[in-house]
Amino acid sequence: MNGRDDIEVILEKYADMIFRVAYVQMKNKDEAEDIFQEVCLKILHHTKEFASEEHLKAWLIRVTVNCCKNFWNSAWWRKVTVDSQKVEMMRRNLSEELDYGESVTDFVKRLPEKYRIVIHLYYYEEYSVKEIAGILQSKENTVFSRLHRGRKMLKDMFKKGGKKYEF
Amino acid sequence: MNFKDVYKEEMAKICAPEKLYKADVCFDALAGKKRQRTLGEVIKTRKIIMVAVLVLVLLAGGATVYAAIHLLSASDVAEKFHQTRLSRKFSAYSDVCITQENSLYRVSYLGEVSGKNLRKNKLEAEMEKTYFVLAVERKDETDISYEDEVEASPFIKGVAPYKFNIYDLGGSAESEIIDGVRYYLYDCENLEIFADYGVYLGVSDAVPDSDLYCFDEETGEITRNTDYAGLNLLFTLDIDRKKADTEKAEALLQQLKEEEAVISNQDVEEMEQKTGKEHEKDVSREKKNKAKGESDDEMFRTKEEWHLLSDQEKMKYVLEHGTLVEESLKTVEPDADGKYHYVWEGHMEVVVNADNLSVGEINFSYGIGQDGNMVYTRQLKEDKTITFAAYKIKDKKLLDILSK
Repeated sequence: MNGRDDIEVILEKYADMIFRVAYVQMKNKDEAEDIFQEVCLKILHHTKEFASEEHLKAWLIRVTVNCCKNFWNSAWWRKVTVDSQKVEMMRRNLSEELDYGESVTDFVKRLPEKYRIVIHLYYYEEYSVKEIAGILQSKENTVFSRLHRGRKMLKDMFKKGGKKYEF
Repeated sequence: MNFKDVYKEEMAKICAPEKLYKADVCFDALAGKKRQRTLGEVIKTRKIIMVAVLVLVLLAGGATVYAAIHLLSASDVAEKFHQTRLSRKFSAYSDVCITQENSLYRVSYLGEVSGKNLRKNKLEAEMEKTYFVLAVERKDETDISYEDEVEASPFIKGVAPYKFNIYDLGGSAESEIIDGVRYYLYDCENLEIFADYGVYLGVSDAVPDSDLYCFDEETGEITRNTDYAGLNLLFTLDIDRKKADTEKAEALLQQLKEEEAVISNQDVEEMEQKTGKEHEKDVSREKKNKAKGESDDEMFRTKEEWHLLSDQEKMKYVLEHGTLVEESLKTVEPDADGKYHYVWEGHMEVVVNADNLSVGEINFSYGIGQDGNMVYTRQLKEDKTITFAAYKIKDKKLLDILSK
């Protein structure tokens, strides 16, 4: 797995998928790029063979989601001082409130993290609820519940925004 | 417009910049990151050795403390994850090492602390959370790898582990391997509020369900399933009962019940087909029936809730809110090919098979015809016949839901 050729093949094939998952989670491209590099490192360190292409794909998604969580928990904060943290918090808070556009993706980005990833995997990657539960190592009823709530939140937001989409 | 189509179209435009995965640039960047990480590990390893030597000198090496000596403390682990405040809190309040093992792994619980603002994370800093630390080693003394993954989850006495666990508690984890030991720093919603109930910590190699842990409905006790071949350890957490907040705990558990109640019957059936988890359906239906008993007029409000109803309940609703068109009611036998040819003269003609129908199950569909808004039903009987019927519906709520 960690041969350079193998990794190149994987990245050529799944780079966009990894980047999209990271983007949906991080909500901006700069941080999605950081996550992407972390995922590349994980691929580099991975030594076991994958049972199938689907197994590899699911593993990549899970690793990406975990990298995002780890990023929120620590990595980003290691690099900034207390003052710059405050500035960045203000920037991010403002961007969360004001800078979102009106695209469907922008509405999805307004959802809490746990709903975003489920919505993305269900609607974009077209995984079933059972598969999502497996990838996220979650319970199926938790995924169902999040999917249901995420959809409801989106519907409410669309309604407020004067938009109408069928689910 | 369809949400899925629009979302897919928009997301398809989000692509990884080539610089991220094109060979030369990518590998140069990765090489840089690897060097950085390696340096960090070296520094940390030196520190670990110093801590270990110090502890060894102080404790003079008794057999009972040996396990603690070669492991980092919870405070050290938090520091490793650059969580200074959390590290200080662990240092002040938590100094334990309880070890359990199975044939492959030795797992040490290194303590838990709870509080606000313990973590450098703007999203969660304000939240009251519980943090706990685990150390996982291979029993054969070889270095552990990132392939050796465990799942840890708090359980609450009185609530089945498969119903309420780390996922319901908004849990997350990060881990690092240090000197052949994998350390996990977990966080989840505040567990102290459950102190009156009693709190366990399960550590397993799979999502906690009834295969791994037994739940006694009468006493609420949770125990290991000793027949399980893999890892299913169970620690009992000693949480100060003075910190219990029964009101909050009940509110959280109530929220869980409400979340379960919205799981649609359709989804649950899909789940059953794929996993055979019959209990999920029972739980969901039980909740739904209870809700229904409280307000019969509000049998459903959404499409999901409509699907949550049993066939009998749906039929009851259709009968109450619609009018059977007598001429439409027909029982049809299968032809030689197993097809059912239903003709409602001048109104409807369909050929169906029974592949998607179970005996007794009623299939509902909606249509607008010359007679107005209709709900069409078909039901497979034990004698292999299918009964077709059409109901004229004026109930706007049902029509809205079925027409979506």
